[in-house]
Amino acid sequence: MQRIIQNSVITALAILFLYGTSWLYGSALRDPRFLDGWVLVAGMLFLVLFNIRKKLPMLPLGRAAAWLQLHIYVGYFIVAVFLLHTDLSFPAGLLEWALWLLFIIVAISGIVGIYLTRTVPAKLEQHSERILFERIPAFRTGLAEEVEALAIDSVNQAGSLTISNLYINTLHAFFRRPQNLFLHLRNSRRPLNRINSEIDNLKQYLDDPGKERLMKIKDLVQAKDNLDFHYAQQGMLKAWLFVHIPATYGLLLLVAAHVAVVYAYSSGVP
Amino acid sequence: MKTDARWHCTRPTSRGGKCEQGPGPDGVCCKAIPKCRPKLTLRAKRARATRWIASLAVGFLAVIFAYAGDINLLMPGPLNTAHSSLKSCGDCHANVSSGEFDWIHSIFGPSDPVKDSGACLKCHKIGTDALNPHNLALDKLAALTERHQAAVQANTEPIMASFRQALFPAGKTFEKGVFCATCHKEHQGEKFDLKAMADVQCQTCHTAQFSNFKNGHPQFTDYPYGRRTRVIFDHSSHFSEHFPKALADNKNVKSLPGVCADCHTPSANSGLMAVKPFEQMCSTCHIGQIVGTDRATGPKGITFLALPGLDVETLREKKADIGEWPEDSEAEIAPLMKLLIGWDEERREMLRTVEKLDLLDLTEATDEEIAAVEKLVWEVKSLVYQLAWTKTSDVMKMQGAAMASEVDPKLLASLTANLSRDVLLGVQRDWLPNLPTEVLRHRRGEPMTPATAPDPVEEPGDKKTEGEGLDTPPEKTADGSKPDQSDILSGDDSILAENKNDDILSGDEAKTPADKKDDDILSGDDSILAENKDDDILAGEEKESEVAATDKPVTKEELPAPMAAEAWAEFGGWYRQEFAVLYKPVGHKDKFMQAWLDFSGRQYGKADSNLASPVFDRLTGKDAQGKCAKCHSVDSGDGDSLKINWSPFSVTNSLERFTKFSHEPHFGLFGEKGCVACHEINGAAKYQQTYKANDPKVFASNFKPVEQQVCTVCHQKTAAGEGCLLCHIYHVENISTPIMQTKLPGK
Repeated sequence: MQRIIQNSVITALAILFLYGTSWLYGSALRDPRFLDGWVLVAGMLFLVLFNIRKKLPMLPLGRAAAWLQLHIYVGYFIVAVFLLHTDLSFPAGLLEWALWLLFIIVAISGIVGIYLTRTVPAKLEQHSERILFERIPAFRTGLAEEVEALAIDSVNQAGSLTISNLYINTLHAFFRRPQNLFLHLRNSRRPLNRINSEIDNLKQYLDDPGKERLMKIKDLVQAKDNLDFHYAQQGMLKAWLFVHIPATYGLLLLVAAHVAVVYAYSSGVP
Repeated sequence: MKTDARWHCTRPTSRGGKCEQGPGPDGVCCKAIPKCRPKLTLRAKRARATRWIASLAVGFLAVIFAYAGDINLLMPGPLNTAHSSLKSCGDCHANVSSGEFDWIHSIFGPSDPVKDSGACLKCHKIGTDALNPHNLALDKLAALTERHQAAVQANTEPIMASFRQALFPAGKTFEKGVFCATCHKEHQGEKFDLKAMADVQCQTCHTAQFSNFKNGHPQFTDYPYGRRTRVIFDHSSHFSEHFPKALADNKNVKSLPGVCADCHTPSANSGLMAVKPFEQMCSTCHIGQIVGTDRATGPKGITFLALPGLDVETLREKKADIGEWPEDSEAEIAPLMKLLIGWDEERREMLRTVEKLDLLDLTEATDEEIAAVEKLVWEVKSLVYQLAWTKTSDVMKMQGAAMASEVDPKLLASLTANLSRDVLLGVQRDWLPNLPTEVLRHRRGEPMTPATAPDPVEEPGDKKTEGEGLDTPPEKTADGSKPDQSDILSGDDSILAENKNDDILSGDEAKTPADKKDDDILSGDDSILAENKDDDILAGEEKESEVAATDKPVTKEELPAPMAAEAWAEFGGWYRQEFAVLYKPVGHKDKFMQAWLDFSGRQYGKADSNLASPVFDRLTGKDAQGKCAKCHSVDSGDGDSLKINWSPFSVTNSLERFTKFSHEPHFGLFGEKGCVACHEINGAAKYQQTYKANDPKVFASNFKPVEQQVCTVCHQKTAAGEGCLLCHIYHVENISTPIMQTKLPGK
């Protein structure tokens, strides 16, 4: 927390300093948009360096965590510079609109990413043991096969169709693919409770071996629900980057074009 | 492997051996290994998405740039409504030409703000120093800066301003000028105020800085009186002496002002207080001084031409070849005439010689001086001759040549006040009857003395005279008709020629042209009618007709008393009197007076040879006719020239104004105190004395400067405002829009 306060204070001071400097620049009969515009460009290039740093872990470029902190707080700073540069107003031309929208997308996705990286790991730890995102499909397949085997076994061994019907009507679809992702993002237990309730209702119709199989199935349902939770949370943790990074490179291209246009039409007042 | 039309499994034992089912009918293994299908990692998918977005961005930019001609694609914001008619970027961005991709060239070319500003100045015309701060010449700017720096308090500089000056010094930024776009930022929206400026922006250049109007703004040392008033009106003396005296005398009581607004009224456009016109405010008391009715002594008209009094007898004794000349004249050489005669150095030298002489007593004059007087006589005659027999413009062109410029026809008309040819013909007829003949003979080099009788003048249109040059004068009467040969009083030279042996004019002293004037029926002098009524043809005719009508002779007493020419010119204009042609101002704004004061003022110089100066001094003197300079002040002009201020202060005649003030919003704020709240009379000021010199900046105002405290009561940040631009004007040069140069249809 202390680090957050410290970084926030430094960022706020930097914003205030830039605001003051820009105001002084403008009051000196110069165009402050040149000043804050170049700060904006420099800031964005710095933020891109973080991505490059991640791709070059072998180089001694400092700790990734430190880079992340810089990335986050320089990002906040850049958002403030952007607001200053655009004078809190909507753009006019098509190019300006495209720039504005891309920046907004990058900025919002970045802020969402910060939120997710701050909150999701804690949720995952609270929920259950850590599961690698890439391994989730394999675990899910294993669980599905186990449930299917139990259902077949109940028919073969006991000649009862109770469990097999449960499997056909409910469990087969549940185990086939990730389920209830949005509810898991909200940390909801409602889907699990619904299935558990259905399982519990069947207990009274089964003999002891049947009950034993049903309990095993219940455990597998719990495991599958846990996998779905991880899949949803970790998926979000990775999905925001699908917006943030491509939009960033698109933005950089438009920024380059914007700088070129600005200097082409500059009236020479610095 | 296929043997006997059946498929057999050949998998070695080391790899699991044969399975129970064996291969299918088509030879495919019953436990086929699914084909490996590699799945992209998330990172790879992200990279692919990035490439897609980047490609889209490049495509988007390509489309945008391809259609850059449509300014909405690249324009960073809407133009102000006033500029909404501009359709091409190149209209304002001089660096960018009209082609779709031409703007790309300008990325690599240096921007030229001077050219960009030039685009603005096409429509918003300012003077030659448009890109200088305040559109002022740099020397003026430096002088003003020095003056204001001395006036401002040094310890009130805002911290931010000093900080800014340290970080972003203004010096080099504006080396090439203050460009339009420096202050006027476009693309900020239709309703954006392009003229908006923050106070701190003014202080970019203003090195003497302060935080607010109340603290630090220079005190109003002389505001609003940056110079003396153009029209001399001593408020103090009028309030304390003239108006009370007029009241006491019960004279013009109705026209006397009672409140300030009786004389001053808000100007329609500028917000300044204008002075009501002379005719409304001053005429009642002062018109008499202009037209001369209040003049106790001296002529009421200005001498334009005069035949100067000469010692004719001595001149003849000394064989001066002067021809005829009125012996009774005592007139002086009028300054206006000197200016007309002395158009070259030779003539000016002659005039300087003559000025030293007592022209009425030339007995002791040297031969050179007599020669100068003789030359003067012929110059005067030549001037009268030319004015009467050639076009006025030809005469004045000589003056134009002397000034190395053409004389404007309008000025010419004003300078001569449309001098009637009849007046000049009267001069010739009455005072120099043989003038045309004499001038012609003189020009031929023929002597006039001892016999002055001239040859008969040839008739205009006479075949003998046609084509003989401009020296042949038309010989007509004033009304253009052929002169009556029988009329001895008509000024017909032929009769003089006939009678030259009788020596009517030269031999008979009593019959000098001066005396002849009294005989002239056309002179307007009616006394002759009374005196010579029995001999006068016209008088006799009148008498006969009257006798016929009333059967009663007109007695001498019944005839109207003779009227002096000056009295006849009651309403001003031209008249002749005592061998001089005079002009009496016809009223306020007399064009003759204005033209001569402007004309001679422009040529005013301290050199002895300058003949304009005496004219100007004569017309602005204390006893000058018209009394123009009594109210219209004289300022120094360029060089030695002088300029007379014909109009009171107005926005149009006051260039380079840094301040603006609108009186109307302030009416009613000061209760009974009214105007005096700001404009307090300074009774101790020697107002009129300051007009003895010609520097308008050295003056003593009738009023004390406006107290700054009066303004600061309301003009604070949270009240009526205190922004620089509330009272100050940046563009001291008027900005105008040049009129469209629309060609006429069909041309």
